[in-house]
Order: sequence, then C-alpha cells, then structure tokens
Amino acid sequence: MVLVGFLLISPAVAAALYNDGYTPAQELDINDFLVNIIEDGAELVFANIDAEGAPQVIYGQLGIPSETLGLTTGGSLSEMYTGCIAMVLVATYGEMLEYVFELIGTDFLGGDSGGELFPLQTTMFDFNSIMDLIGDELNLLANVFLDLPETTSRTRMNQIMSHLTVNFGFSFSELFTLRIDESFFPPEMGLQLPFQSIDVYIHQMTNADVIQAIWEVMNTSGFANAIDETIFAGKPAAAAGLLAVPDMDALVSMIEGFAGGGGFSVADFMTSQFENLTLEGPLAIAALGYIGDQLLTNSDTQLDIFGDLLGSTSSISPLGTGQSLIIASFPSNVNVTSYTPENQAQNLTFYDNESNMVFWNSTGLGTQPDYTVYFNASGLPPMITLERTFSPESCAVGEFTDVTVTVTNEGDDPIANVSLSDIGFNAIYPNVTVSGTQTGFWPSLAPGASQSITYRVTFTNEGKYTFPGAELTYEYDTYIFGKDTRADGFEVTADLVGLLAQGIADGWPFTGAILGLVAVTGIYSVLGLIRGGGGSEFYQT
Amino acid sequence: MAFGSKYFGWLSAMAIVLAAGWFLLPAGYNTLIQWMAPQLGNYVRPTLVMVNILLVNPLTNIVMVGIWGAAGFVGGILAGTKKGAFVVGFMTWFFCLGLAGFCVIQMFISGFNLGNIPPLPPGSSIVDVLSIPLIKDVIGGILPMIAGISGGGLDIFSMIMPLVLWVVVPIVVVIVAGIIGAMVRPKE
Repeated sequence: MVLVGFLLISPAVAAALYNDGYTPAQELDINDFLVNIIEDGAELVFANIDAEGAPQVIYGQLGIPSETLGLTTGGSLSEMYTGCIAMVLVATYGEMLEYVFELIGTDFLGGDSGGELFPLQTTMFDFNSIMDLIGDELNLLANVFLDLPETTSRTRMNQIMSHLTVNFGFSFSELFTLRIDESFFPPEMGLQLPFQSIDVYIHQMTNADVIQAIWEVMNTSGFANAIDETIFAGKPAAAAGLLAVPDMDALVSMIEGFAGGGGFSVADFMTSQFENLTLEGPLAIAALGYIGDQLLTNSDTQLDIFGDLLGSTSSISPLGTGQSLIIASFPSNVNVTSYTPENQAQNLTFYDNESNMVFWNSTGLGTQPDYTVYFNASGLPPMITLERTFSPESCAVGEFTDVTVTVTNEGDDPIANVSLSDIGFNAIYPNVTVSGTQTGFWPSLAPGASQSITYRVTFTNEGKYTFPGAELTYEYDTYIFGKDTRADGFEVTADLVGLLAQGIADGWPFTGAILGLVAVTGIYSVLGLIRGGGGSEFYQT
Repeated sequence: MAFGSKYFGWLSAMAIVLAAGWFLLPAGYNTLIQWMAPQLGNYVRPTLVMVNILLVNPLTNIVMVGIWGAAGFVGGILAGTKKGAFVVGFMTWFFCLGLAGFCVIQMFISGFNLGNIPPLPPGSSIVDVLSIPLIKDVIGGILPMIAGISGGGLDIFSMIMPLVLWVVVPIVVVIVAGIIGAMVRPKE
C-alpha cells in the first residue's frame, strides 16, 4: 500500500516540479526529467506531519532495485524472470491499509473535498466493512507469467522464490495458482485470446519480518545508506511494497496485444511523448512507510527529516546517478519559518506556503548533515499519550480481563474538555458481558496529570476479540484535537476439558448413551482379554 | 477375542484421528476460529476440526492423508484381519461423521448469532483464512466455473465431484491402510 502512496505521490512531485515557480535545476525539461528518473532511477522521502504532530513517512525508490534481486544477469534478463511480466510484493502491518484508504478517499494531502474514491465510499461501498474483512497484516507475493508452458512457468516461479529465500530471507506458502488459456473457457464461447497463456502465482509471505526483507531488496545507495530500517518496526502501522517489471518491452508488447494491435503502439506513443525514452529492460518500484505516534508538540521548533523520522545518525548523500528528492509537509497549525539546506536562488529548494510543503532537490544539494525544518508549532497540542492495557493479557473461556485506558498530559500546558470513550467493543460483540466505566470526561487535565477509565469484560466463547481504538478528544488553544489507540486483539483460549464436558452436557442423554456403550464395550473387551490369558493371546480368535 | 481387537483398533484409530486433527489443525483454521468463535460459539473449533478431518484433498492436505493412513494402519494392526480392518476403518470414519454432525447441530443450537460479522482480529488478514487448504481448493475450483457461467452454463457435476472425492479420500485411505496393517501383522 505504500506503493499506492508512492505511485500517487510521484506524479504529484513531477507535476510540482513542472511548475515555472520551481524546478529542481534550472533549464529543466520535464521530458528529460521523466526519462532520467525512469532510466537512471529516483528516490523520494515524503514526510507528512498531521495536525496532532504525528508523522507519516514514505521512502521509495524507482527503477533501482538491488542487483541481488537478480532481474538481470550480465546485462541481460535472467532466465528465471524470462516470461515474467510483473512481480509484486506487498506487506502491511497495523492499520496501514485503513489509513491508505482514508488518505485516498477523504483527505489526501490536506484537501477537504475527498479523493477520487470518496463518492464510491459514500454511495457504493463501506470501506470500513471491507477493511474489517481484509484484516491488517497482508503479506503477498504475486507473479504473472506470459506465454509459457505451465511446467516452465512453475519452474521459474520456484527459482524466483528460492532466490528470494536464499538472498533476502523470505519464506512462502502457496495460496493460489491460476492458468488462463483457451482451455480455461468453454469451447462454445469461441473466445480468441490475445495471448497463449497467463500464469498467475500468488503466495503468502510467511517470514516474521517481511518489511525488513523487502528493505533488503532495495538499493542501499543514496538515502537508503543513511536510513535505519529498524525505524519502521514497532510503529502503529507500517508497510512495504515492491513492483518489479523484469522486461518493460515484454510488458508493452502484452499491452499492445490486449489493445488488438490495430495500429496502436504503446512504445511509439511513449516515445512520441518523451524523446530518448526506451521502454526496455527491468524496472522496479519499491517503497517503505510508517505511521507514527505523536512526535511534535507545541514546544518543538525544528524537525530533522532523517534524524528524527528515519533514525539516521550519519550524513545524507543522494544517489550517484538518478534523482533524489525530499518533501516535507506540515499542517496548517505549524508555521514554517525556515529550513536548511536552503538554495532557492538556484531552485534547488522550494517552500510552498499554500500547501505548507518544503521540497529539496537532494541531487543538486549533494551530501548534507540532515534536512531540517524550523517552525513555530504553538498550534500543535502538548504531548498527550493514550494507552490501553489488559489485565490479564489473555485468558481462558469463562474468565475475564480488566481493560484500562489512560490519558496522560506529558506536556507543559493544560488541556481542556478531555473526553475519553472506549465503547467500540460493545458494538462488535453485543452479547459479551461488559461492566464498569467505558467513558470519561474531565474539564481539564494539568501538565503531568493522568486520567483513566477501567471496565471488565467476561468471555464465554473462545476467540481473538477485536477492541477498536479507544477515542480521545480534547481542546487546546481553542482547537479540538483527537487521538485513538490502535485496535487491540485479545485472545481467549480454548478449554479442551471444558469443551468436552460442555459437549457431553449439551448432548445429554444421547452423548451419555453413546459413551456408556463405548465404556461397556471396552469393559467387555478387557474382560475378554483377561479371560483369554492376556496380551500373549491377543491375536487369537 | 476378535471383537476385542476390533474395539481397540477402532479406539486407537479414533484417538489418532481426533488428537492429530485437533493439534495439527492448519494455521488458517485457527485464524478463522479466532475470528468467528466470539460470534458463533465454542463449537466452531470442533466443527472445523471435523471438517478438516473429513474433507481431505489428497493433493493439498497431505498431512490429513497421513493421519488417516496412520490411524488406519494402527487400527488394522490391532484388528488383525482384513475384514476387521475394514470394519475398524469404516467405523472410525463413521463416528467422525457423527461427531461432525453433533458439533454442527450444537453450534446452531447454542448461541449461533449471525447478527454481526466481527472484524478480523488484529495481526491477521483474510490471506490467513484463504490459506486453509479446503478454501484454497474451493476457490481453485470456483474460478474455472466462473468462466463456465459466462460461457452459458453452470456445470453442477464439476462442482460436486471434488467434494465427493474429498469425502471419499479418508474412507479409502483409512480402509486401505487398515488392510495393509492387518496384512503386516495378521492374527495368529
């Protein structure tokens, strides 16, 4: 899903760069720029701070996968990727999918009129319900092969998986394979396919840290050399993705085949739009991202993009070849006052005061200690933490847990009208017994002070129960802010003995009769064995 | 004494099938149980254990084939005759079928509530559920059928045949393994 964000942001960046008011280098030609980033590669760091001071960070690479990925060998397409049209790896953790849908659907890049999918959300689909059914940890590998015998495509798929396992630590479990050829359709349809066959292989990635493994696939030059990839772990939500097209020429040919070949040529079209563009060879897009907890408060005055958001402790160098860009976006309640490095005179940096975004052309700026934004953040709230705990952290059927939600003001200023609510569980599981306080309101919360609500949930069924995020709203400096805990899962374990007893009781008297018959037969058999002289004659008739 | 040996053969085979079915349940089933049991009750797990035991695709659920084979083999050894092994194998499968029916009935009787489908638990996804061998097989079978529908007809036979095969596999495996067991160690 980070890929989605990267794919959406990249054109936006390109569009922004094609503004007369800002170009990353003077005399820039947008055609050359696009050709360069496709042919030479590009990388982008996009950092967004929301109105509560929480960061969302994406690092993406275009066209520069690690050599170790093995798309090519000695400059030509590797045999195992021959016939592979595309390979996609996607891994999400936490509430990333939900966030991405919200981003696309309602408020992408600060707008308030809704994204392209917003009408669909309100009239056709309930994305929350869909998200409930998709879940939050999606780890998939999908490969598409064109016009290969089934045994060949399967062999190459196995080679690719073996390569990914040995070099990057992936492990896989097959989910689905699908072969679409003319035999797939009933003969009476008389269908003429524009290809001989398409093989689709979908695998679940089962290794523990898929995001780390995808990071290993990425090129380690440029920004990646300075980023501490462990920063992505342990965040409320994180995701990573890779889209690899081993042979652009083969993909273009396939698209032209779908188009019917009636004079239309994707290659010709692209070449006519972008001179010097050759759609050949491999292309890959890889990206990682995370959504963090509140980082900035009303007392902060600066943000180091790499040091604070990407765990960097060293200087930041751009790609040797290709384009390196950084974008930092701030909410309207943060007043950006300056930033470093700054080189607006040569159009290597740019600040857009309407969107409150800072752009750096890192390629032009060269190696830097960091990229820092200075601001007046008095509009941000103080550091407010919201925590939910379970005691015990799991239990058996028939037992209970006490849920405590605590809001703490860790800042230097009081907040007002603090409202806390944790009632989402009741809506999902209306038949589960809940007692205690699930909501709270306090007129003010002083610096250093905490308030809590506690309630007890008693479970009669096994399962893993979802506790939706507890919701907090509060007022600071006449503005209303909100914060949620992440959704938690609480496991109630099965009780085998209890279940057996329950089964016997529920099926009484029939279960009693069957068990009695089995027992009597057993006693009869044992007595027969004893009469027969024991185990030595066990096999006698 | 022949009765006694068949009894213990049946008891051993039942114990093997139920214990292995319970403890070697594929991970995807656990996700499904953890997801649905809060709403559908405590009989969801035994019901799905029995479904996994009784519907076996030999191509994708080799573990269950092995369990049935082991149960049949042990049952056959204890039964000691081919006829006894057949009875042991069939009765093992038949009791499992009865147990599955009981679990399904109890699931419906005791607190079955379809009012809400709860969200998938945090830390899991629909992919975990789709990794269940039975569900993979069903989807793998449905996709070509969708193409068939668009071609003008729904082939009921091709829909039912895989299910029939999956039902038959455990019976055949347990009986054949039982007969082999009886041949390995026949009654003296």
